[in-house]
Amino acid sequence: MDIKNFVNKLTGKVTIKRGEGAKEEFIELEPDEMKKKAAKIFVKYFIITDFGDIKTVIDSLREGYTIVIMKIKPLKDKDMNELKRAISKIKRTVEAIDGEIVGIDEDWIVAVPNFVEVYKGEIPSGEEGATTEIQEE
Amino acid sequence: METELAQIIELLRQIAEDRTVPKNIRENAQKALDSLNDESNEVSVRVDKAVQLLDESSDDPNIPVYTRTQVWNIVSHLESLLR
Repeated sequence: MDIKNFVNKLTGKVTIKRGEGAKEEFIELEPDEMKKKAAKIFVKYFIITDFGDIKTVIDSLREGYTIVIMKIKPLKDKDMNELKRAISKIKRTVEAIDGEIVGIDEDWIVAVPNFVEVYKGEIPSGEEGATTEIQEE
Repeated sequence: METELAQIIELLRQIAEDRTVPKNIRENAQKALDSLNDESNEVSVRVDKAVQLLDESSDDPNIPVYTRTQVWNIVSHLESLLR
């Protein structure tokens, strides 16, 4: 292989010869476009200690493509009424984005956007035949 | 819906430009206005954001009585758009 052609291949330039006596022309090949990064889905967790903490939760949900997991125990232990207000506010935003909010545990809540479905299945307990439903809030 | 939204935007603009209203409430009204005009989000998200900003304002102890009435009126119209 001709060294000049080899170098041209490396730099992305192509030499075209148009017969004897013709001037060499170069066509620059555009480098490949950077592959677009695939859209990501975020999972964010928050520990809610105060009513004001939900602002970042709500902003994250509004951005879209975000699954939010919240630990509500600190606020629940501090003030139940504040917790109810906070959850009510988050619920309104979740409804606006057509998402879903589900309680996983006494202390944890997950809020998901509209393209995510939370499977509210049953977990078999140790006792035979008995099942425990996951709480929904 | 578009005409109703336009009317709500006009009401919010009046609050945002009313010098007798405390500055923080005017700022919230302006943010609510910007949120309603932000076409990068869906209408429901815009409306939800505006409602929450206005709810904050209506809880402010310094808000004049007539302004609180206006804010409640706007919130009521916005919530009807969400349904």
